[in-house]
Amino acid sequence: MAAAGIPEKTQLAIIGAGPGGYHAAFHAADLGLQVTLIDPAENPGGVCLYRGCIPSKALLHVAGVVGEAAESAAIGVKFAPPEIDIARVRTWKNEVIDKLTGALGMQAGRKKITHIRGTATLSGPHTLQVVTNEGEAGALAFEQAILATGSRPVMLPGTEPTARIMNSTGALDLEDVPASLLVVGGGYIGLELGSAYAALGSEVSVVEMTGGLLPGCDRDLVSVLKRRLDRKFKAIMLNTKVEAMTEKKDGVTVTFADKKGSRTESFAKVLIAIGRRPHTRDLGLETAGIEVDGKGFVQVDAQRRTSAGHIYAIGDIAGEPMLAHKAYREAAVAAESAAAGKAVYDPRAIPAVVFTDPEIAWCGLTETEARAAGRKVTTAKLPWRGNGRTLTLGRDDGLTKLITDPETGVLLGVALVGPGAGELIAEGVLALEMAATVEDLRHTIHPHPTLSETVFDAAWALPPR
Amino acid sequence: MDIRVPEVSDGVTKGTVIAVAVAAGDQVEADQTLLEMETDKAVVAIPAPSACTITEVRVAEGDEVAIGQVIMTAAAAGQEAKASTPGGETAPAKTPEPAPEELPAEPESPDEPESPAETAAPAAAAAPQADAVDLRTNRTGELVAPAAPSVRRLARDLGVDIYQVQGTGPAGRISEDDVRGFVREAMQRITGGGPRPAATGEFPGLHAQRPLPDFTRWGPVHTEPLPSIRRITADAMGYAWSTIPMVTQQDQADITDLEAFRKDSNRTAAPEAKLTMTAILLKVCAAALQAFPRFNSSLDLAHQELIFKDHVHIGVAVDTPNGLLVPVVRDADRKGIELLAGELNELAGRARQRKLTPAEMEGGTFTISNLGGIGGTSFNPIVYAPQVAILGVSRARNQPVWDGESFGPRLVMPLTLTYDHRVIDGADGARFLRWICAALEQPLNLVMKG
Repeated sequence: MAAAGIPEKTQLAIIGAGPGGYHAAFHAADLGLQVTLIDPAENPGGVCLYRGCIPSKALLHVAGVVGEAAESAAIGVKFAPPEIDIARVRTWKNEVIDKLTGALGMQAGRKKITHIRGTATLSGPHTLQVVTNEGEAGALAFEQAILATGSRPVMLPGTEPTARIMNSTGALDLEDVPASLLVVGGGYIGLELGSAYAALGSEVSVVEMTGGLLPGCDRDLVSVLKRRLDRKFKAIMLNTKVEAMTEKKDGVTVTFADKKGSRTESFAKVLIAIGRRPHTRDLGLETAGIEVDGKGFVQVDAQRRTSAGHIYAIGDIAGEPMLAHKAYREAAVAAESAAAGKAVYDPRAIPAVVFTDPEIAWCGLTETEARAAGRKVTTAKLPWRGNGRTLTLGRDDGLTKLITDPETGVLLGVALVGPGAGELIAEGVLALEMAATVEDLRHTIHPHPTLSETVFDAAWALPPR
Repeated sequence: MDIRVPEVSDGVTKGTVIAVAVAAGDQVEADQTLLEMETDKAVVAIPAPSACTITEVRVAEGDEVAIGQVIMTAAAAGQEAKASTPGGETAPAKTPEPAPEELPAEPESPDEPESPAETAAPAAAAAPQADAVDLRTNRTGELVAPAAPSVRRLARDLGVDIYQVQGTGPAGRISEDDVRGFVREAMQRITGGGPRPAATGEFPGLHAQRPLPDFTRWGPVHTEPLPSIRRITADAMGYAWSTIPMVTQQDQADITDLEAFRKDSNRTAAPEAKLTMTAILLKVCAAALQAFPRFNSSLDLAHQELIFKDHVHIGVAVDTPNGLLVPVVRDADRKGIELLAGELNELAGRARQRKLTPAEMEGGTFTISNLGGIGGTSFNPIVYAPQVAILGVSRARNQPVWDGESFGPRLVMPLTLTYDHRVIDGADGARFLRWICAALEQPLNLVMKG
């Protein structure tokens, strides 16, 4: 399957085979371009499949099963406390990864994509310096290129990943289930992985520097999640800084500082989840005249062209939000542009999903943004406790929120918290892309009894225009 | 409440903001000028629809704005405005209506072709590809035009700036039909209208420009943007020149007696009532157009018809510091020379100050271009489509004229008539111009024949 050696030239070189890179490669190949895809992994997948979205969702499924079994006592089904075979969980997780990445590898082969296992750096506007995993080095001339090198977890200043101080990659390796785990960072990565470890048996604490979890997300959604996390986690420390960390033989001693002062606590392991940084250093961008902003993101136009017009950048290196589905769309735009098409990146909405329990999902304008912009909106907030499907799931937590334009009734944002919110948000994204109005939602038949009825009911809860 | 750009004149779809007269926080009276906008040939003032407080100004000088676009938001005087509030007793916030009396939106067929810039030519120059997309209007989030992704793609494929398309769906949503309609309308405007542009036989790309050489190879250059007057003149002249088979007929009139009368009359007249040769020509041409109705018609190839206008509105070309403007004198056939002279002086004065409304330059059925004040012996004017004829006037000179017995000095004025040969035959052209000359030489003819 792997093409031996480094070809001399290619029409389209793609660096990085994450969701952005492989999708761009497949799409460009379908459009008739001759594509070379360069990535060190055996198969396409990138962070998303190997060290991100997919393994974390596998672990969260385990967490879900454990959590549901425990809560089933309330509805008359009692299970014995679970016995967790951590090795089997790990193997299953890896099987999921192998299945998905293997399928992508096959697809790359079927589409006649030249797939080089190795790394590449730009050495000029039309050349890449390629080093294969086997150590073979060579120059690859390209007509056009797409950079999709993704991002890496940020560590606290002065720390490196170790056995006890992990980043998300280490946490997903699931070496063991530590008795206690400190998650540094109250963003979605920390909360998702913290939830998984808590379900597997760790005593999880979260420390967040700002005043709330999930900065940027509307507070009413977060508060629904926090009510449940307060029960699952040992502690959620807000407005608290990590001042020092000392790794000992049997754990990590962490010094916290908040407005009351400093204190020290020990944890078996620490997970640093304070953000991700675009991987744009050491790519030789300057040799092609490609400009990078202060945060390390490559500057791109609406077709994802960099300042070197024939080189595109997509995914995490092309700016926030760093989400796989945003990279997919950018990949399609860049591939089509490279094939002389007219696609542009102009989404009306990019969904964001936090896969905790309950899940949080939103798209379009948030209430927080509307308030910051001093913009008048009309919102409908529908708690799920009146929804039949929610109650039959043994739950009562959840909220559906519609944010609309008071003048026209056009939907501006959709936000959900509750089990399955991540699946439900797709309707909101479609509605926003189609510039749907509240009226449209009201006259769309939603299936009964489902959680999606909360969207329908929220539309009816808005004042008639 | 949103304040939008009102309809200023039939066929005008956009303009350029040249001055913003208010700022956020200002209290304004009803009809107070909010901003001035340059449209086809005129600067129009956009008035406040009602007394209100401006809360936000969304445009700046130099911005291009479309009819219907929100330019400002405002709160009604003394209350928090809500446009949809059902009518209370206290002055309800009105949706802006184009009511200012100086801007009558006449439902006439526009005789001025629209600016070709309205078809949003993509800026191909800077882009690396021949088939590049115009990225200047790209937005994300809720600022993206309210249209489905498939519709946005269609617009891109057709080279349409979707932000210029007015959606007809709920809340202004843009459908595929809206995009196609926009293209159809733009094409009709370029091809001179008519339901089936192909039937007029005009070939596409009529106004296309061939690539220009890089002039900097031969020396330094500088550029300035075409003002809208120049764009419209260029389009109208280019269209006429390339589509109308024109013939120019030349003649000359002995105006010795007429000029003596004119000078005599002006000796006692007030400055604003001065009798000009153009005013006299207005009266003479109006009578000639009634005697020769074909010269007052338009050709409709799409319907295979000749449209005779039972009204005589004569455009007069006016040289202004900003370029050529053609105000139209209405019903010239029903007015006396004194009245015509007064109206013409007034229109010309406002034309020089750029205070004409677009409506005052529409609906002409014939045009007079008098360059006699500047000089020259003769020139061939270009028919102003969809009119079919235009009269050019050059400077009168004293010439020796044979009266059958001897040469005597006579004041002779050269006249040129350019006409659309598809509508008017050469003999008729000669007769029409001779009729005009005869009327100038012996004004009694006007009464006898007219």
